[in-house]
Amino acid sequence: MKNNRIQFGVLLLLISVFTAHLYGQNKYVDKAGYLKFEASEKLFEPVEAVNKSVTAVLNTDTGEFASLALVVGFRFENSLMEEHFNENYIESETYPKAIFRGMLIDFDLSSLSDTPVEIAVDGKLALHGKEKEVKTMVSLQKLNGAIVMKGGFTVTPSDFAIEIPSIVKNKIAREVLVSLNFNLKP
Amino acid sequence: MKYALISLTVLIILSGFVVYEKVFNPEQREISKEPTAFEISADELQFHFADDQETATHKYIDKVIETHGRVTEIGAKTIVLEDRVQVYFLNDLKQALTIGENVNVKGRCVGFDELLLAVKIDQATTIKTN
Repeated sequence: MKNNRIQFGVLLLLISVFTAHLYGQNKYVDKAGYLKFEASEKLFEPVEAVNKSVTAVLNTDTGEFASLALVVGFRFENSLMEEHFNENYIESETYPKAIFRGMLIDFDLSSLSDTPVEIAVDGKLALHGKEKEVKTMVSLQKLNGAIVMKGGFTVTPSDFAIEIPSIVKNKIAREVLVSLNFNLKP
Repeated sequence: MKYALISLTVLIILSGFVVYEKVFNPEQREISKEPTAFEISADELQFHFADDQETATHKYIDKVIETHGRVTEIGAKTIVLEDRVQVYFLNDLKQALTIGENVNVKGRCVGFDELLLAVKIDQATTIKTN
C-alpha cells in the first residue's frame, strides 16, 4: 500500500514536471499569416494567389517552426483559375492542407532586434500527398514585441506530383516562387 | 454593303469578347449573397472535424456556413469562436465586439487547422449579435 502511494507520488511528480515543461515552452504564433505563390510566365495572364489565413508557430526555446496553409484559402484574381487550381491541380478536397515543419538554425530570441537578420530554415513541406525538403533563408526582426519573419523559396509542381496539362504548360512557370510574411506574437 | 460587313464583323468580335469574359473570367463569389449551405454551432462544427477530418472536409470545404458561438479572441480582421473556430473577415470589423459575447457569422469553410486545432472560415461578412 505504502509502495503504491510512493509510486503514485512519483507519477504525479513526473506528470507535473512534464506539464510544467510543456507550459514552459514559449510559442510565438501568427494566425493570419501571409503566403503568396507566383508561377507567372511573361506575356500570359499572371498565375498567382494569396492566402491571408495561414497559421505559423515558432517555438522560441528550440527554434522549431511549423506553418499550415489551407489550400482552399488561396485566392486568385481570376476565379476560374482558382477553380482549376482547387479541382484539377492541388485537389484541395482530397489534400486540403499544405504544411511546413522545420527548424530555424541557431535561432536565439535574445539576439533579435529591430534590425533584420538572415537566418537559415531547414524543413519539410508536405502537400498534395507528397513531401519535399525545403532549405531557405528568412529575415527575422523584432518589432513591438512581435517577431516578423519574411522570406521565400521555390518549388516545382513536379516536386509534389502535380501534373500540368500540356495545353497550359507554357502559361505556367516551371518554378513556383513562394513568399511569406508572418507576424508572430507571444 | 461594305458598312454592313464591317458592322457585322465588329458585332461578332464584340460578342466574342462578352462570351470570353463570361466563360473565362467569371465574377468572384460573393459569399454573403450566397445561400447558406449549413447552419451549425461553432462547437459542433469543430467537433465534426476533430472527430473525422476526412468526412468533415468533404462535407464542409468551400461551403457557405453560418455559425454561432461565444467570442473568445478578437484580432484586426479575425475573431475566434469558442476557442474552436477561427473566423477571417473580408473587411475590418465594423461592429465593436467584446470577448464573451455571442455572435453569428456567415462565411466560407476552408478546413481544419491541426496546428491550432481549429476550423477556419474566411470571407466572413455578416455578424448578428444574438
